[in-house]
Amino acid sequence: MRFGKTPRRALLRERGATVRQDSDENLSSVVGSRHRWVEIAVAVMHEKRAVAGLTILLAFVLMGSFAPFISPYDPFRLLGKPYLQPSSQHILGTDSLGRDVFSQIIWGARVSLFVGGVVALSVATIGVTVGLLSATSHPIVDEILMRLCDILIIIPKLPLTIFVAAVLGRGIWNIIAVLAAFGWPQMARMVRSEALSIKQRPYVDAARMSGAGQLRITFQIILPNLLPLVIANAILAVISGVISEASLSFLGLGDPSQMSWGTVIYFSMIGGAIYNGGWAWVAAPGFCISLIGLGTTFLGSTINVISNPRLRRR
Amino acid sequence: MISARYIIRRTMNSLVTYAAALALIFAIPRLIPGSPEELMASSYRLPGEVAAELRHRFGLDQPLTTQFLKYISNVILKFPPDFGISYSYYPAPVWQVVTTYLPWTLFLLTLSSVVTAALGLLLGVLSAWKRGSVVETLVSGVSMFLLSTPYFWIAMILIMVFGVYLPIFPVAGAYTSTVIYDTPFRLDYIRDVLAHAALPVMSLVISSFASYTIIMRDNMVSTLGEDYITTAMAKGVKTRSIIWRHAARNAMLPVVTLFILRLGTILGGAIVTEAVFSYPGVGSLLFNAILNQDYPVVQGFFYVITVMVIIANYFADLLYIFMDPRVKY
Repeated sequence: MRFGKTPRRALLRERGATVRQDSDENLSSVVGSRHRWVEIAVAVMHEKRAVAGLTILLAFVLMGSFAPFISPYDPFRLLGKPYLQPSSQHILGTDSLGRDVFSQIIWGARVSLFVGGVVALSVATIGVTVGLLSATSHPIVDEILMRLCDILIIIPKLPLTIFVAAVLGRGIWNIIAVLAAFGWPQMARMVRSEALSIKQRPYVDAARMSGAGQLRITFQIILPNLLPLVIANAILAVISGVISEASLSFLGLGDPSQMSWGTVIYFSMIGGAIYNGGWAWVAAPGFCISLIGLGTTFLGSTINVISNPRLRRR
Repeated sequence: MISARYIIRRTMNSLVTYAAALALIFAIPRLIPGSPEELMASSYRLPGEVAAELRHRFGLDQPLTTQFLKYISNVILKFPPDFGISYSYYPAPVWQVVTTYLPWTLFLLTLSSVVTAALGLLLGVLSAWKRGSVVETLVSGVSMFLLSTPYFWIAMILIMVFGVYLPIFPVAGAYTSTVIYDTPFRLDYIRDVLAHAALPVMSLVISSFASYTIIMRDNMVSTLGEDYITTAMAKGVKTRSIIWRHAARNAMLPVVTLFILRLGTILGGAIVTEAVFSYPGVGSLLFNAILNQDYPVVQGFFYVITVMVIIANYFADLLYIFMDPRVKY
């Protein structure tokens, strides 16, 4: 155990403060080499947590991808009696309209993970672009972009998302667009501060000495060094996408033609599951969301720790 | 130590953020396709001249720059800030509407933040001290699981447990509306309000204490590895004193920042939670305002909460420097 001031440092860095760095820390990491990727992947797979997280995520991704083949019934089809208790025929019982909850959960994985995945991808793309732009261009551009981030971070996100989603109307792409539009500032800030710190390292100086231009330094040296961090945070962004989508759907702002986990919770709320013994109907979708959260946290934080030597000294 | 330059810079940043937030709040309803009076006109089938009159009354027939200047002067120069008249609570001014609902949300927010932080800290310290034991595994496991549990889902589970199977707490509203009290300072009224707040606060606490626990544990583990802890142990300082006075106090620093930084997130959570419990706070207000396209109220809401968060963030940053002399700017 060493002086582990890392969380505070990370927090400070996130808030834009300049934290003293030992510039030789990352000297050994070979820039963008394939070797380093393999090294990270192997190290990640040696962590029990990461394997558990990956297993959970893969299981849900498979469940969502093969939903048409796995799900016993059509999630929207009215099959019979409402509020049936879990049984061998309906593993999680039926909802207020007599639809199979288990099938809804399976299809829900597809919708929820699709939204979470696309949101995470968009957030990562916008975040990396803005962050790199901010770190490498003129201080004025940097200042403007960072103030923009501040504003978007400071206005509570969920109310803003609710408002815009309500105005745009109920569609799955509208929801994705809103979540991506308000989700990127954290990523941009992180990318910026990390890029700034990478810029200070000796190997960047070395590259500059050997005649590399700004573009080359940005894309071939800074970006590859950032990627593990970006990937880790994109994985963590999946769950926030899933939860935000669920919140919107729960408030009745979701896409009614898509059965996401949030929609299932929404239907269980308005369908009176609570007062009709539908405990499985209420519990299952939220449990799945939490499991996804567990999986992303395990995998994302492990990649974060392994790819970021400063965090590794715990 | 703290420098005047840093304070000035930080203040300027906050002011810029405030100004930009003002502009954004002005822009929000105007970015929406279809103006409010058109919506009103079409939904109530108003004749053309009435719609034009409405336009005129709301000042929407003036150029954008005039509207903007008027908005700025109404918001900044007046106290209370003037966001006009609410459409759905006509003719109450927006400020009055928002401040009627705000106390309930602040009450929920304060109560749940304090309980959340206390619980999170306790569990974090506990699991750091009992490192490697069953307690730690249990606390970390539960925290990791709860870390990304939706607020509203916890709320529904609580309603299910306490509303149906174990009816101890009321599941809706902020007080028993069938009883009218002559003064709010009566013991049975306070008890009633607390009972109504129990489930909303519990759902907020359960779904948000985990982040404190995890950060506190990590900090605590690193702090316990510091030399001065070893020194304290060697000196024979009591265990309890080492944990709380030597380690926890230092490990707590980032948690204080987290506490304030999370205000915005908890506020978002409170909004959804209020919807589940039909709690009469700004969350319910915002939701109804959105459904009724009551844009002045939406603007007032965003103004109030944004200003709150900006101020909280500003003081969090300054507080941090005072609390941790090791931080230099």
